[in-house]
Amino acid sequence: MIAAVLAIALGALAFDARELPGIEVTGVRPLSGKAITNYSHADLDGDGLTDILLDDAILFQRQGGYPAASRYALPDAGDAARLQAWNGDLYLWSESLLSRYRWHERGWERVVAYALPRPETDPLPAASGATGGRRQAFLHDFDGDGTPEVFSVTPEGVHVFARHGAGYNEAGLLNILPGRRITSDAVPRLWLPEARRLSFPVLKMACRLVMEGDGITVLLREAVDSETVRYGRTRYRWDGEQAVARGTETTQAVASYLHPCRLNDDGMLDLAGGCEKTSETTMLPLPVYETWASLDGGKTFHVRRSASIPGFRPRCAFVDFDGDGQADMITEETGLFEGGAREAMSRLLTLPEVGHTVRVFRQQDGGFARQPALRAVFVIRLESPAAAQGDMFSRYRAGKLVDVSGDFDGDGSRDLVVQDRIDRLSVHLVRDWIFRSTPDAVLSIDRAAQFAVADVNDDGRSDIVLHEEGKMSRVYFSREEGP
Amino acid sequence: MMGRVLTAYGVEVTKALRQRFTALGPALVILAVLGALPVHPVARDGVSDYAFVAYVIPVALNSLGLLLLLVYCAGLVSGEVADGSIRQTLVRPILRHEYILAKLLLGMSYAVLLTLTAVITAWGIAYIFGEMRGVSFGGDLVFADNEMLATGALATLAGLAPQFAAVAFAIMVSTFTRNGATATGVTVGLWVLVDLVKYPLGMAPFVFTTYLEMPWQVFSNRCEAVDAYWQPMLYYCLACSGGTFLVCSLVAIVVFHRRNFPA
Amino acid sequence: MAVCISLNKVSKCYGSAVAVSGLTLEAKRGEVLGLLGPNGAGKSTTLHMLCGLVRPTSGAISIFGKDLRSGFVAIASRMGVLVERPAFHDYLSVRRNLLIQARLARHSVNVERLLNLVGMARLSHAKVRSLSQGQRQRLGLAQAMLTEPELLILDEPTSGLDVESTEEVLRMLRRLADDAGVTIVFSSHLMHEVEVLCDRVAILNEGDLIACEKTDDLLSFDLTRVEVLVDGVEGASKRLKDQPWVSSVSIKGGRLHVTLKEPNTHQLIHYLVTAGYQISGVLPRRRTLKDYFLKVMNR
Repeated sequence: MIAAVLAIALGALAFDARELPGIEVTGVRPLSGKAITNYSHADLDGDGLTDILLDDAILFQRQGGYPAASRYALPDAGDAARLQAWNGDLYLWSESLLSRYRWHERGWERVVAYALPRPETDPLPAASGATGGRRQAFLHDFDGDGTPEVFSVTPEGVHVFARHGAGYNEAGLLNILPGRRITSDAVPRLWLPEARRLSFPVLKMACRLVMEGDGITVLLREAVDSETVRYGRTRYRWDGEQAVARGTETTQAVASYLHPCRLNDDGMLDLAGGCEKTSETTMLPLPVYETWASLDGGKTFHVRRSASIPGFRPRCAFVDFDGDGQADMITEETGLFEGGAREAMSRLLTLPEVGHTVRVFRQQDGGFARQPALRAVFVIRLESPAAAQGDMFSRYRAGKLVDVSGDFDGDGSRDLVVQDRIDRLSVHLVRDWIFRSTPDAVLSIDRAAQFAVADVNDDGRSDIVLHEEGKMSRVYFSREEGP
Repeated sequence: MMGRVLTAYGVEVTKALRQRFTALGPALVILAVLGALPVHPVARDGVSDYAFVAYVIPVALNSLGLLLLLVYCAGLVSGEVADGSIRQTLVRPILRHEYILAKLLLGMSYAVLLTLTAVITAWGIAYIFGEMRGVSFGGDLVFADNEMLATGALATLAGLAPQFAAVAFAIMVSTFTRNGATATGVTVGLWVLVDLVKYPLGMAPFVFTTYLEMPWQVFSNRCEAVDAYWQPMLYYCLACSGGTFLVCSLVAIVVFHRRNFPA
Repeated sequence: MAVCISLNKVSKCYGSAVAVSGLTLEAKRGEVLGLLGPNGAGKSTTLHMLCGLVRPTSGAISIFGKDLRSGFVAIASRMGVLVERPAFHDYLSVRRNLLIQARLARHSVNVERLLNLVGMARLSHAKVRSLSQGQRQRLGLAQAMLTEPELLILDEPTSGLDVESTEEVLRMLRRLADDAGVTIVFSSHLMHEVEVLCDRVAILNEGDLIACEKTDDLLSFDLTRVEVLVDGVEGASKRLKDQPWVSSVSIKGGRLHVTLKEPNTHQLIHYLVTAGYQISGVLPRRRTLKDYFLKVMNR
C-alpha cells in the first residue's frame, strides 16, 4: 500500500491535448471493455511506433504525436475496397484485385497485386474482430506459415483463398454457417392505405465467426422462446481444403439478454449480460439492474444486483480490471433512490447531484468474489434535479458519465474516469485496489463534449477522446508527469 | 437526579397507558401491516417472504409510524401546557430538565413500541403464513435466514436512532409552542421544509431525516440480493441522529427552563 | 417566628410590561399572608414566582431559608400549591390524578382520607373531565395538601365554591395554620376571606407593594366615627354641628352618626350628658378591610 501511495505521489498523471481529425471512439464493448473505434493500429512505416489506420488515411506517429503533416491518404483502390494492415504492409482488396502496399519515404508503393475477385456478399454483420466499414477483416493466417490467407463470408459459407505461387486461389468454401431462418421481426398488422404492401419475412443468419489460429469458431444464437435463447458453439479446423469440425457445444436455454463472450481463457463458452428488474420491496417500483455471468456455458450463474434508474445501462460490465487475464465484473449503482421512498422523492425533486457507486468483483477460483475488491463512490453534479430530466441526467441515464475501461498510468490495473460535472472529467487512478476519492487528474471540457476512452497511440496508457457535434475529436494523451 | 427522572418517567408511562392515542398508534401500525397483505401476499410457495417484511415495515414505520410518532411527541409538552396540567407537575419536586428527560424517555419508548409492533407483526405474519428460508438468487443462497434475521435486527436497532432524533425534534418544538395542534403543525412543517432544502443546501448527509429508512433499505436490498453495506451509512446515521438528539434535547431543556407558566 | 418566605426586590417583566416591581416581602412560619389587589396588581405573578412556575426577572426568593432556584426540589417537597383554575389530566380519575401527584412528590398518600377532607370521597373514581368547577377546585385543594406541606400557596382558593364550602375551606385552612403551623400565602378578591383567614395582608397595585399590615391592626375600632343612641336626636344633632371638634353629624335610622376630628369619645359623651341628653349607647364603628383597601388605593 505504501508503495502504491508513493508511486502515485511520485508519478503524477498529465494529459496533452491534440486535435486528431477523423478519429472516433464511439464506445466500449460492454462485455470486454475494448474500445469501439473507427481506426486500427499498425506500424506501417517500420519505425517501431504505432500508426493509426483510418478508412481513408494513415496517421504516422512522430515524436510521440500525430501531427497534421504525418497524415497521408491511403492508396486509391476505390471506395469499396476493404483494407487491412498485416505485418507492416497495407492490404487493399477491391472488387477484383488484392493489392499489398508498403510505405516508402513519402508515399505508398504497391509491392504486389493479385487478381482476386471478391465473392458477392449479402450485407452480413461483420465477423468478430473486424471493426466494420472498409476495415472489415479479410486476412487470417490459418496455416501459420506467415503468409495470410484471405477469407470472405457469404451466405454460402466462408470462402478461403490461399496463396499459390504468384496468386491467390480459392482453397475451399467452408460450409459452416447455419441455415437462414425467418426472423421474428414484427410486421405491423395495420397499415395506412397508402402504405399497404406485401412484406416478405426477413431471413437472418444469426451467427458470429471467430478466427483463431488454425480454427474458426461459429457461434450460433437460437431463440427458444420469446425470452430465452440457446447458444451453440462449433469449432472447426481448416485443413487446407475444408473445415473439419472439432466439436460442438450447446448451452442451456438462457435469458435472451445473455450474450456469449470470453471472460477467461479456460476454453469454455462464457455468457454475460444484464437486465433491468423492478424491486418488490419498496413502495416505489424502483429498478434494479442485474449483471449476470456464467463461466461454464450457462450451467451456473453469478449475479449481482444493483439499484438503478429506469433505462440505465452501464458502459462496461466486464473488464479485466487487474490485468490477470480474467474479466472482472463491474456493477454500477445509483444513489438516487437511497434511503427509501420518501427520501428518494425528496432527492429526485430537489437534489441536482447523484451519488454513484462502482463496484468491481474479481474473477477468482472459477467464479466472482462475493465481496467487491473495489468500491468507488462518486458524486456527479447533474446541473438540475433528476426530475427535471436535464442533459446531464440523460447522459447519466445512458451510462455515459462513468468509464472503467481505461488504464491511464499503464500499470495494468484499470482506472476510473468520471464526468462529475458537465464541464469536467475526473480521473481516479487505482493501484493495488485502492481508490481515492480525490481525483488524480481533472480535465476541463466543453459542456457539449462527450468522452470516450481508448489507447489511441498504443503506448499502454489509455487516452481520453472528446467528441463534440460538428467539431474535430480532441484526444487527451495521458503521460506521466515528470518531476 | 436519575431517581426523579425515572419517577417522572413512570408517571408519564402511567398517564400514557391511559390515553387512547397511545394504543391507537400500534393499532394503526398493525392495520398498515395487514393492509399491505393484498398488495404483497404472503404464501408458502417456496419463495422466501422477506420482501413482505422489507416492503411493509418502511410503509408502516417510516410513513405512518413516523407521522404518529411526531404527532404524539409534539403534543407531549405542548398538550400539557395547553390544558394547564403542566403547572400541577412543575410545582412538584422535579426540575424542569428532569421533566423534559422523562418526556424524551416516553417518546423514545413510544418509538420502540411502534417499531416492535411493526417488526413483530410483519415477521410474525411472514413466518406463520409464508416462508423464510434465506435469500436465494441465481441458484445461490445469498443470505441465510439467520443472516436476514441479524440484518433485520440491526435495521430495527439502527432505525431507532433517527426515530429517537425525531422524538427529540418534536419535543423541542413542543416546548416552543402553546398547544398540541400548533406543535404538530410546526413539527411536520419544519420537517417538510428541512427535507425540501437539505439537498439543495448540501446538508442532507448531516440531517437525520436522511437516514430514517436507510437501515431498512439495507434489509430491503438484501432481500433483493442487491449488494448493500452498513458502512458508512450506519456511522452517519448514528452520528447525525445522536447529534440531533443531543442538540434538540438541549434546546428543549434550555427553552423549557426559561419558559414561564402563568395562568 | 422564623421566616418562611422571603422576597427580596423581586421583579417580573413580560417584555416592557412590569408585572411585579421590586417586591420585598416576608412571611413567617405559621403565618397566613393574604395578597390583595385589583386585577393585574401582580398577586398571581407573585404566587407563581413563589412556586417556581414563573421565573423572576430580578431579585431573590428564598423559602425555608433556601434559595428557590437552587433548592427548588427540597422546597417543593415541603410545599403545596393550588393555582388559579387548577387543571388536571382529564382522562384520568380523581384518584389517579392524586396518586400521580403523590408519586411525583415521592410521598405516600391516603387518597380516601384526603378526598374525605375536601368532601369528594364519593367521586374518587370519577373522571376529572366530569367534575364541575367547584369540584375541580376541591380536588386542587386536595392535591395541594396531599404531601402535608409546611407551606401552602393558594391562588384564589375558594374560587367556584359555594358559600358553605367556602366557609368550610377557610375554617380548614385556619386550622392548618393554627394547629399544624402551616404557612399559607394566598390571594383573593374577597375581603371577607382575607379578614377571616389572614394574619397579615399585603396590598399590591400595578406590581408595587403599597401596604402590608397585620389584619388585627386594620380591623380595630375607629374612635373618630361613632354611633350614638340618644334621646332627642334632632336637638343633639343641631348642637353637635356647632362644635369645633365635630366634623360631621347625620341621623340614620333614629341614630346619631357623628364623625369626630379627634378620637375623643369622652368629650362627646361629656358634652351630651352636660347638655342634658340621655345616652343609652355609644358605638365606635369597626374598621373593615375594604375601608383600608380603598384608603390605600386612593392614596
